[in-house]
Amino acid sequence: MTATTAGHDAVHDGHDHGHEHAPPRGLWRWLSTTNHKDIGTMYLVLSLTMFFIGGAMALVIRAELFRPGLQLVEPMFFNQMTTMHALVMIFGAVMPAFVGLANWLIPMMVGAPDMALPRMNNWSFWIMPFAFALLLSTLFMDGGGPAGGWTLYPPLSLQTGAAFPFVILSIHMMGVSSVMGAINIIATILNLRAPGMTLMRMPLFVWTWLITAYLLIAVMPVLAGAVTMLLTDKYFGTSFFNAAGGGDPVMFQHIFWFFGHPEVYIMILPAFGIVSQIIPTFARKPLFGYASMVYATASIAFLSFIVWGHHMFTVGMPLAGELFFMYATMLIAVPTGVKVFNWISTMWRGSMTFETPMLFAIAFVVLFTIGGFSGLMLAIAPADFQYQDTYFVVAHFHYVLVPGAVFSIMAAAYYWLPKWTGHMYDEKLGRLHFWCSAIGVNILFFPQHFLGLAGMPRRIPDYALQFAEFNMISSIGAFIFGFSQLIFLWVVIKCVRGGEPAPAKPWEGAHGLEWTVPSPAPHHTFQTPPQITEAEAHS
Amino acid sequence: MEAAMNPGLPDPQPRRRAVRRTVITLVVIAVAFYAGFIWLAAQRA
Amino acid sequence: MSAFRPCGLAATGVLGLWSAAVHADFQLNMTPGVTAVSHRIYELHMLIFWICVAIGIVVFGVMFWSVYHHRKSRGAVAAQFHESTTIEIAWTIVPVLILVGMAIPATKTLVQMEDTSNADLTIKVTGYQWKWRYDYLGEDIGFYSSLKTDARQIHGETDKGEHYLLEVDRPLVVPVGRKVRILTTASDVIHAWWVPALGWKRDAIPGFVNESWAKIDQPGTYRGQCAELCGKDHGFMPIVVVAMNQPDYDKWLADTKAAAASERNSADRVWGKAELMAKGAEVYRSCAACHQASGEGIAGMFPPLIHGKPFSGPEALLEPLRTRGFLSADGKITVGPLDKHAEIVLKGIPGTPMAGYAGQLSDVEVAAVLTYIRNSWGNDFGDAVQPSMIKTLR
Repeated sequence: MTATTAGHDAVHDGHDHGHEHAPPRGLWRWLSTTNHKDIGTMYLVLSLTMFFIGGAMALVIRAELFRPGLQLVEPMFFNQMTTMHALVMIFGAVMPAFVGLANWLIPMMVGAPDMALPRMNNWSFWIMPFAFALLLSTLFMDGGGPAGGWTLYPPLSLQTGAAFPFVILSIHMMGVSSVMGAINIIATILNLRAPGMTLMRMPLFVWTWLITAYLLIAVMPVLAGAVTMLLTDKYFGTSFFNAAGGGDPVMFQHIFWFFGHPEVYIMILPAFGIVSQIIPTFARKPLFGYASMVYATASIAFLSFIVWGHHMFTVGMPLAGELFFMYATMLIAVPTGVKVFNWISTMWRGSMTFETPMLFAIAFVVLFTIGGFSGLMLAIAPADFQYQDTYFVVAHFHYVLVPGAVFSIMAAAYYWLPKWTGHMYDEKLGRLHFWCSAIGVNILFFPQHFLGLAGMPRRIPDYALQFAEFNMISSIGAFIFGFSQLIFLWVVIKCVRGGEPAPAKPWEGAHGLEWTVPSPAPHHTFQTPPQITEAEAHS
Repeated sequence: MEAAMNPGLPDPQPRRRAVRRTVITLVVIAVAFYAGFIWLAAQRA
Repeated sequence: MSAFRPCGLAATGVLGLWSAAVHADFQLNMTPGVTAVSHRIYELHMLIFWICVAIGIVVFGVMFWSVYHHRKSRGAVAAQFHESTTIEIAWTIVPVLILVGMAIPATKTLVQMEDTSNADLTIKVTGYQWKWRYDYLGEDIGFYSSLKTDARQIHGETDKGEHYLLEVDRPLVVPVGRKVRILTTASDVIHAWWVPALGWKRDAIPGFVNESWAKIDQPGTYRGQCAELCGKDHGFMPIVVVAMNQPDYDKWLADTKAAAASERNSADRVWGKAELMAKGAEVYRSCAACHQASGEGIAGMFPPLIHGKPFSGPEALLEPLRTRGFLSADGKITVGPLDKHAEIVLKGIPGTPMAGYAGQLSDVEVAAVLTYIRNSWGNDFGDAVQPSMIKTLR
C-alpha cells in the first residue's frame, strides 16, 4: 500500500515524460522506465519466462506419470512440482501476461498518453521478478519448497519446512504488485480517456480489464489476509485454523475460495476481451451484441463472488448451503453462454480469413466451451461428490486455462506483435505453432476426463494399473504441447529481430485507436488526444 | 506531460484530483478487504 | 462398463491413439456404483453429459458451418448487423430453462444423499498420514487399514500385482442391504474418503465429524483412495470396502471381537524376543513411510533410526533430537535410552512431523516396534521391550 504515495507523486512528476527524447539505453532504461510500453514488454517477457519454467515443472509431473510406479522423482518432490507449477503458472505466467497486455494496449485503446500512475507502474512490475526469485528459491531450501498444493490448505501447508515464510512473503509481494497494477488500470480507464471515448464506446478488452481490475482489488487482499493468518498460526501461536486451539480449518477454505473463484475469472475475463477484439477483425464485421457482452462480463464478475462454495461441496456444508452454491454456479452458464453465442453471431455472415490470431481465437471459443461444459457438470453438486478432486477437475480447469486463457494470450501476441515490433511475424511458423498446440493440448487434457471419471484422484505421483493407458497418452500430449511452445519463442524472437515491415493497420478488418498510430508504436503516443466519434467506435 | 495527462481538459487540475480520488477509494477498498477478512476470521476462531 | 462415446474431433484423435495401446482394464466413464444413490448420481451425470453434447453439436455446428461458408476466400461479403435485443433475450431465457431442468433432479438426489437418519450401523472413519482407521461404534472394535502393496512393486523391482496400490492389510467390512452411516474425521491433516462405487467422497477434517451414508446392494470388494492431498504418501493410502451378506458379516464381527479380546489379554504376559521382532516388523510398516524400510530415513527431512548414521537438516528438527539424546554433537544419530525412545514413539516430537502414537498403537505394538528398531539394520541393543513396561510409561 506504501506504493500509492509514489503513485500520487507520479501524477505530479509526470512531466518528465512529455519531452520528445529517446529513452536511455541499456539496463538502466528497463530498471527506471515509467513508459507503459516498456513496462508492458517487461511483463510479457517475465510471463513467457515463467511459462517455460512452470511448463518444465508440468513436464516433470507428466514424465513421472508416464507409467505406473515411481521412476523419476520422490513423492515429496512430485508434490512440490504440482504446487509450484500452479503458483508459477497462475501468478507468474497468466496474470502478468494479461497485465502486460493491459499496459501496452489500454492507454493506446482509450487514447491516453500513458498509464495514470507511471511510476507506480514501474514498482508493480519490478516487485514481480523478486517475488518469483524468492518463490523458486524455496525449492533449494531445507525440506524443499511448498508441497501442500497451491491452495495451501492447513493443517497440511503448516507442515512445510523452512520454505514456508518465504512462500508467504512471495505471495504477499505478488498480491501487492497485482493490486497496484489494478489500481493503475482503473485510474487510467476512469480518468484518462480521450474526448468522446465514453464508457460504452471502449473496446471490449478495456471493459473486461476494468472489471477484472475491480475483482483483483477485492480479492488479492483476501488471499493476503488468509496467508497472513497461516503465518501467525505457524509462528505466533494463533489458532485461526487450528482445530485443537478452537480454530476452524474449513474457514481457511472459505476465505481461500472467496479469493480463488474470482481469481479464476481474473484469468479468463481479459481473455474474453482479447477474443472479442480478434473475432470481429478477421470476420470483418462488428462485434455482435457489444452491450450484452459488457453486461455479461459484469454479471460473471458479480456471480464470481457468490459461488466459492462449489469448490467445497465435499467438506460437509449444510444442505441449504450446497443447494445455494449449486444454483448460483449453474447461473454462470447463462452469461457465459451469451458470450459464446455473441462470438458465433459475429462470425455469422462475416467475411472470414484465418490468420494465426483468428485460429487461436476460434480454438479458444471451442475448447473454452468444452471446459465450460465440464464446469456445468461439476456444478451439479451430487455428481460433484464423484468428480471432486479427480482428474476430471484437472481436465476441466486446464481446458479453461490452457486452450482458454493461454490460447487467448497467444492470439493476442500474434495479433499485436506487428504493432509492438513493427514487423510481421512468420505466418507459416505461426500456423505450425497453432496446429501443434491445438492438437497437443487435446491429447494432453482430453484423456484426463476419462481418468477422473474412472476414479483417479488428482495430485498423486503413482496410480493403479487401470489408469495406465490414458496417463501415457496424456503424457505424450504434454510433450507435444510443451515442445511446440519453442516454436512460439522462435516466432517472437524472429519477429522482434526483423521481418516484413508492418503497416499501421496490418489487419484489413481491424478497428480501434491502436491501429491509427504507426508500427512499431512510437515510444509516446496520443500526447495530443484523439477525438472519438460514434461512427469510429462501433464500425 | 501535465497537459498530455489531461487531454480532454484545458485545466489539468480537476483531472489530477480525479485520479487521486480514484486511487484513494481503491486503496480503501483493498485495505478493507484485507483487514475485514482477518477481523471476520478472528470473530470465529 | 458403459460406453462414453465422446464426440468431437479431439476425442477422435485421442481414441485413435488409444486403440494402439488397448488394455483390458481401462475405463472411460463414471461407475454406476452399487448403491441406489450412486445409480442416481450416474444417471444425473449422463443426463447433463448428453445435454452438453447436444448443445455442443448445435453451437459448434453453427460455428463450423459459418467458418466453412462465410470465408473471404469463398467470396463472402461481410454483413453489417451487430445487435438484436430479441435474440439476446432469447438466448438468455432458453439456457435458464435448461438449467432449471437440470437443477430439479439434482436437488432431489442431493436431498436423498444428505439424509443420514435411521442408520442400521455407524462406522467412524479417521484419516491419518497415511492410513485409515475404522471404528465400529457400539461394537467395541476398531483397526487401522494401510497399503499392502510391496514397495518393490512401486519402485519397479518386481511385477505390479492386479490391485497395485488399491490393496490394504485390513479392509473395511460392511453388511449388504443395510444403511451404514459413515462418520469421517481426521487426526492430523485433511483427507477425503472416497469409494467411487458408493457414489461419493467426503472430506475427513481434524476437529470435524462429517456424516454420509451408503446402503450397498451386492456383496463384493470395492476399492477407492484418499482424494484430498495429505502430504508425501497421499497416493498410497487406499480404501478397500468388503460388502458381505448378513451371516458372513455376523461371523466376521464375532471373529474380530474375539481376536481383539485376546490381543488385549496378551499385553499382560511376558513376550519373547522373536515374537516381538515379528510383530514389530509388521507395525514398522507405518513408520517406513517416513523413516523408510531400510531405517535410513530421508536426508534433511526424516532422521535415520540407525545408530551412528549422520543426519543434518533444519535446526528445528535437530535440536529436539539432541536434547533427547538421539543426536551426538558431531551430527550422528545415537539410539538413546529406552525410556526416551518409548516417549518419542508415544508422544511424538512437537513441532516436527513426528506424531505421537499413544492413541494409535497398543502397548504390545509399541513394545514390538521398539524392539524391532533397536535390533535391526545393524542396531544391536539386545532389548526385548515388554508391553507391561510401556503401560507404566503411558
